Amino acid sequence: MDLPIFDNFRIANVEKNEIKSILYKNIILSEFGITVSEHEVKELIAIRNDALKRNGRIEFKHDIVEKLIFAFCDSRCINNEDFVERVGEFVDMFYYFRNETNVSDDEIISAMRMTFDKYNGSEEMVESRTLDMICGGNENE
Amino acid sequence: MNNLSKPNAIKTGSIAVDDRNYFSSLLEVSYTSGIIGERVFENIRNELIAVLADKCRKYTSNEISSVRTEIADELMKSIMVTIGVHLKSFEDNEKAINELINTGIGNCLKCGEKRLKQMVKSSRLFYEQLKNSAVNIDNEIYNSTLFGGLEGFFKLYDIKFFAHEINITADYRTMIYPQGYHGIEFIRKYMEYIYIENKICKRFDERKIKRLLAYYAVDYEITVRDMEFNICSVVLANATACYIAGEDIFSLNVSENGKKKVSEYFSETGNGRTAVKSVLEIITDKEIIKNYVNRAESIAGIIKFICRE
Repeated sequence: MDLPIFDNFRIANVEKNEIKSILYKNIILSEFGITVSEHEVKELIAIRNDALKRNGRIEFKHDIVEKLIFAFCDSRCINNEDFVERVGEFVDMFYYFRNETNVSDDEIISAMRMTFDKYNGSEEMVESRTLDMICGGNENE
Repeated sequence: MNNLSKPNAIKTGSIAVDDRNYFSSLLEVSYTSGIIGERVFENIRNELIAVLADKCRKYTSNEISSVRTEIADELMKSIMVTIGVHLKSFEDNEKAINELINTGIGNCLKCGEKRLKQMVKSSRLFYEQLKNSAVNIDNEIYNSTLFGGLEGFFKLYDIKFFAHEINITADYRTMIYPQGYHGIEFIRKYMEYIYIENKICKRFDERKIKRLLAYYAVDYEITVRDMEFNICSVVLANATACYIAGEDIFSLNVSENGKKKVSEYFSETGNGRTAVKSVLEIITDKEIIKNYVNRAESIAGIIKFICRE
């Protein structure tokens, strides 16, 4: 039954499209004072690939990086200087949350953003409270 | 992997393919023997990944962009079994490979799913026939497998995502166990084997079977109800012992004097295969039953146990 189907599983073309799609949307990001370079997008994709591996997941529809970029680009707690670094943290967290809950990707991202806003841009609180936010518990603590 | 040495190898022309993992084996053998080249293999692989991606999307209702690797693995096994079922419908491996190349993975998968549905439908009908053929024996594993486990399979079987799973433990050990088969193919074979064994048992008087099983269980200091054994083997072993002793095989009760004769027989010939064949000639004219028993593991051990001094 074993076929080396995932060996050297190259998603180069998919990633190329992903990079292109994000860079193309710099025009929208600039409305919020944010720009991302090709190098930065590649960095985010590398973080995503590493997070997928670490969390034992496989992804075919690569849209999480882009979704996270657009989920946080209009936050007043974030600026252009540390934007990519912080999104990188969120990408990493996202796949941890993904393994912990069955809700949709969009619901996780939305809960991350709500937690981020609620705790004035604290990454630590996003990490520790997002799952509570998803479950609807401990929100007022 | 040496496919030629596999017990269930289908040999057609120059290639031999494992019937239990037909698609992956066909692909592997075709590639390694040069029947398909690097480019075709790569195309098939890419198509498989595309089909898997689509399956994952459907599995998560398009709301989750990633799945755990274990789930992806299971979905891929399901895809492979489904495609294999379709490819097996071709008369030989060469035609199957042509179908794979010309029709494409996506269409082969659709055809496979259609075929699986038909197989489930016909197997459900066969299951009713199987239940009617059951031997009236109070044995927990036999009855729970036949009336509970198999029923459960038909309730749980998921063609779309987990076509390779059998979902039940299939604890009752048939004389030949369909090891290595997946999903409905396993269940179908398993049911056929139980059916054949039931047919063999039905050639003998039920009360005599009950009596001999009770004695057999006592020897193991257990009840027939709790015993883990193959009913048909014990019945056939007793009939064969009677045959070797020159007694009535339908009595299923070899005399003490007969047991001595059986022991002598085994010390001279070493196995009971010929005697089993002779018993089969007496009890059935069905080649399918004879072939089944002849393919099964020897029951000489049980005969010797029954006739031990």
